Amino acid sequence: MRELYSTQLAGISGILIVGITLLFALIQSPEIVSAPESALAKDAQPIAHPLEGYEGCHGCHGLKGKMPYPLKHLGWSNTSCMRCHSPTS
Amino acid sequence: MKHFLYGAFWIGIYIVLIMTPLFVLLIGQTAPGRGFWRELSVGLGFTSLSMIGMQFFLTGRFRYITAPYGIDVIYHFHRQISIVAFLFIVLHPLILLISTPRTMTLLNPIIAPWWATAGVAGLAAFAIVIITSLKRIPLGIRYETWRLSHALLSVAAVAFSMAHILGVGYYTQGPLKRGLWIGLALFWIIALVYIRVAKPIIMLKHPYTVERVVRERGDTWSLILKPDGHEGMRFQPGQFVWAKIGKSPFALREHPFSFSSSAMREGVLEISIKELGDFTSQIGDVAPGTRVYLDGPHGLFTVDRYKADGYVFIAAGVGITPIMSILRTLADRRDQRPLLLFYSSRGWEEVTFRDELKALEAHLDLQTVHILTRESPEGWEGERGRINPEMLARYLPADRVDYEYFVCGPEPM
Repeated sequence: MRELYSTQLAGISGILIVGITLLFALIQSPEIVSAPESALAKDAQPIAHPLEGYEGCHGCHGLKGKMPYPLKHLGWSNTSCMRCHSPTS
Repeated sequence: MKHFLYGAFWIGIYIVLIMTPLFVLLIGQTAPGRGFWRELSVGLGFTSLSMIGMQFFLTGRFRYITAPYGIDVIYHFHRQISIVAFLFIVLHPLILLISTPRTMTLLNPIIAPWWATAGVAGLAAFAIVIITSLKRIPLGIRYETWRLSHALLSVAAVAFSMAHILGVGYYTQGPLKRGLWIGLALFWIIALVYIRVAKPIIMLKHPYTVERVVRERGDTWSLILKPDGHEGMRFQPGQFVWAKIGKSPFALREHPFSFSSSAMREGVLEISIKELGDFTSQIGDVAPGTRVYLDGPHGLFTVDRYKADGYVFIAAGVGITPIMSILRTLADRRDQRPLLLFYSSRGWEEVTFRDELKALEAHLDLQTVHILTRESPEGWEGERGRINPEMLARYLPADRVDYEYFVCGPEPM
């Protein structure tokens, strides 16, 4: 009976911990929870270079890159850049 | 209700302590996310390391942690939550490999960066801890070997994991965040050092000496222990200690034994031990003057925690030991609440403390129902066989719901 109690405690703790870890992952993935802002997307600068070989946007445009993105873009991952920015051709 | 709230509070504290270090990483300038699955994998990695570190506290026998639940529940929780933490630590690389297959190269120690290899080593150390703990007996590992390797491999798992997260450095940039995780690791190691080094040193300064060894009925021996150079230990009736008899307090092997003496008697302690295994079969050979070191008291099996209008005790064999402590204490307190004891033994000559139980009936409102499972003397009019609901119903009072019940005995009971 007492072993069942401790198993239940471990199970509840595990579920709570997974839930809170999911929250961490969601905080770090704002593209999942926020809808695309189409008005802002219209104002987004077009991409001035071809994309082939340049899939990792953060390499040049991340905070430590040569042409960093503005601070308001903090938290957006490589996969989310293309939601607003498109190549010129 | 009070105990439920107290227990819920400590689970809440546990969750906060596990998760806070993860969310501190989001304070201030934080590295951007790299996709949901990668961040979930990283979160599980950090979380599992927090859980592993907290294990050093769970097994430290700290009274504030064990008091709400009982030390047996804490130890079972330690085992169960270890498996949960292991699941998380396995999911960490698994999710990463599935979401970003190119990270497979991190598993190759020849080409992978050192911090990736450190992560794999930490996972391997933890896997060995889990496997040797779950399968110690089938693997034929001696208890002392297992206990030493358990501690060393756990420290190794924490050390390798710390090297891994500091080497990756994605979320641990800056002195504050690095300092937090290094500080946590040191905190966990300090807990381990306290348990394995400081506590035995404290025990070394509070030794006991075997004053007498008394043979009881039913292959049981009572060791009368006298504190040597200190006042002894206060305990609640029904509690137990871990004892190291004739060994150093640093020895890895220790045994849990219940007190059988009254909690009202200062100084001298008594533990009663039945010959059941390799160690206990030689307990009768312990000589007066033998040094004993005690870690305790522990346990919630005590009437002092559960107030009631009366008590029912159900015991078999050596399970009578903590109940004797309770009955002796209640007699010293001149407690007159109704007490009912169901005591199962193999035969009449094996009823431990038989005569004293009879004598206690003169000092307490105690009714003892003896049940004999094998041999019974000629003319025996008492109960026979195993304790069952019909037998209990014959003796339980009408207001049985108001009583507290204490059960102690072997599993078949």
